[in-house]
Amino acid sequence: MSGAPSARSLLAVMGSRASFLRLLTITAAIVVVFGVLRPTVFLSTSNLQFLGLASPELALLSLAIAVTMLTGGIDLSVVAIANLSGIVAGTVMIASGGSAGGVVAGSLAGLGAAMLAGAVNGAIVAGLRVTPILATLGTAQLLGGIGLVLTGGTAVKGLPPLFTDVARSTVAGVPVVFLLLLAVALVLTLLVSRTTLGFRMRMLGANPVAARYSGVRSGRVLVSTYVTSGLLAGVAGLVISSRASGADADYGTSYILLGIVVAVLAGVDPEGGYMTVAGVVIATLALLFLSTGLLALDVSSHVVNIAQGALLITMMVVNRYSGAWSRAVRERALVRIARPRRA
Amino acid sequence: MKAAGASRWRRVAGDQELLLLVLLGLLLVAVAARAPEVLTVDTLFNVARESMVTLVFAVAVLIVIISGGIDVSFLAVGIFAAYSAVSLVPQEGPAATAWLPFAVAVAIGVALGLVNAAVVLGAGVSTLIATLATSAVFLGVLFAFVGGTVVNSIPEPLRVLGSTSLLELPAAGRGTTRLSVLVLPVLVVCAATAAFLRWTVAGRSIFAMGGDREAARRAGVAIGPTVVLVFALSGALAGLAGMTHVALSGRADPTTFFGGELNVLAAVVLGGALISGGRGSVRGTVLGVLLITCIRSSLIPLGIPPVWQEAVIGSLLILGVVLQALASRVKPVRAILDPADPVLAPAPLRRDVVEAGDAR
Repeated sequence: MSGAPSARSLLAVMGSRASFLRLLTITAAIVVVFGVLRPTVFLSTSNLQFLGLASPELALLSLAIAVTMLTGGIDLSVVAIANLSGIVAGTVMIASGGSAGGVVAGSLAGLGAAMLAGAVNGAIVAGLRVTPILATLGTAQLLGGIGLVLTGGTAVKGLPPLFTDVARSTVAGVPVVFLLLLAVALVLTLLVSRTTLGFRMRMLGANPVAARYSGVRSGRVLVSTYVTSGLLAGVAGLVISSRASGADADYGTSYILLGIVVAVLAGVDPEGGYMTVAGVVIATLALLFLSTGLLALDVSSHVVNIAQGALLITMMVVNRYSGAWSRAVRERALVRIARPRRA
Repeated sequence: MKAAGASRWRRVAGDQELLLLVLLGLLLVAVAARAPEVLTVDTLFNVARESMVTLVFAVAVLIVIISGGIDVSFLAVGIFAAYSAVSLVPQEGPAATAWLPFAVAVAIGVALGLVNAAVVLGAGVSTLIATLATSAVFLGVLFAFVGGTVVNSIPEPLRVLGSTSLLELPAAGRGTTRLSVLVLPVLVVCAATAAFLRWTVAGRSIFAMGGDREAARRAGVAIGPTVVLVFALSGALAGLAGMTHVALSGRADPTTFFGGELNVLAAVVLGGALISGGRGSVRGTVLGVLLITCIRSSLIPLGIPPVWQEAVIGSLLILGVVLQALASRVKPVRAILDPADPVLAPAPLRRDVVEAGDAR
């Protein structure tokens, strides 16, 4: 399988579904429209750099949600996990005086806390069989509360420059955090499409009963899924605290709903069984392209909200009916072949 | 009959309303022991005042949850309806015309609910995602075209209504403490919703649809109209809740409810509504909202630092959903195979499912 048809298998990995092609088309259309309307602002280096800096946190959080959607679940606690990860990392870094070792230790502590939080989610979902949306609603509140307790209600400030410089540095003009996102996306793609765990996650999402009869231990798979989701949220938390030079228990609550929007826009099936990592990254960019493009046209930021909602509704309607339309066209053609008009 | 005993025990443990009552009682005992001076009519009125608006929103969410969906647009609908109504109705007028802004807000709420229903039915996606999209649109339209600034001078009749008291009693310290007259419509709406869900064909259809959509369809429930009804009702209640908030606070701030969706959902779930639909009650929702408000207002008298508030509520929420999951896990399987077994056939119909809600 691997090797010869690499282009095709790459496409398969990226999700060769029609919804993915539509997403690409719409993204390209957004870029072209705003590129023509406001080339000087929209295509400027500063706008692209802003996108490179702003997209990773949203994309990572959306991926964290998408992974759980793959198994037919959802994770509403990703933002709380991200904030907790940032708070733990920041606290350790400040305590260690900002040395290089302290920064590494802090980052690892943050990721560890995030994975632990993910494991708690997984245990509640798999072990106690609580509906994911409820379990993560509860843990979101709990983890947010723990973050508040850890910080005492204020933001963690004064992170070492060694850590905050990461978000500011670029490689060949591309922000390092964007490269980090690409690396994470690549690893996640391989995990979902090429590993046994990924296969089991897809099976579990597509048909939990069939997966159980095929010998998939759903508990283990679910725990791994939520730990993965927690880890992704933890990375997002590090990116956020590096970029914002601080960590806060209240940061970015609107990201939960936005993350679901991105995942659905990408064509991830909330009922489970299908996800596309590349689609999530592209959908994040499409949403940000749309908002910076509209802002470049000097419309109010509230019109951006409307446009994002309208984009989501449009994509959902198109995804629903395009399949039905093409099927109807095909069937009509078949009927014509089967019953040729009498001369 | 050890198994039956165990299952009954677990069902009792899983009885959300009982659990909430016990928790409320424990809270009351704890407050009475630690800070008896707080237990005044003053505090009672505070709890009532803080619960009112959340309660109406929670009932709006409850209807959607019972029907098998999850609505996250209710706060956007509420503030959209209230803010637009405040700017539409005349500023002056006798206090008797205070019903007008409420009627306008409810009408706008119904209209936005119909938009929700159209998206849910048209796009055929889960209500969570559909209402996510519509709430972004609603808020965008509100800010871009209706207005985004805080209105500090609400119409005169509304202001008068908001400051009218049902009860006015001397406060524990000095001055008086009052209970707004708006508590009456809130109670009426709760009772009416409970009655509607329990005693009308349409109300039962909502339960049926939430329990099993396909089974409900085959039993003759018209799915499309029921979905429209659910969202129209939920929109109307959200509009009412938004208007109540505006009348109580005396100002219309379009940003008031930002980010509070999950808190209301949490109260409803804590109240025993099954998130996958088919089960839930107004009574449980009232208890859920009251419990969360009581916890919030009793943490300080209990000497618990305010930063712990979220963590405590989160733990309680997890406790609630875990108990709910454990209780549903031991529900006896329908007695198809072995009707002779008294454990498997506790009753011809499983009352807890069939007569879900207030009928329990």
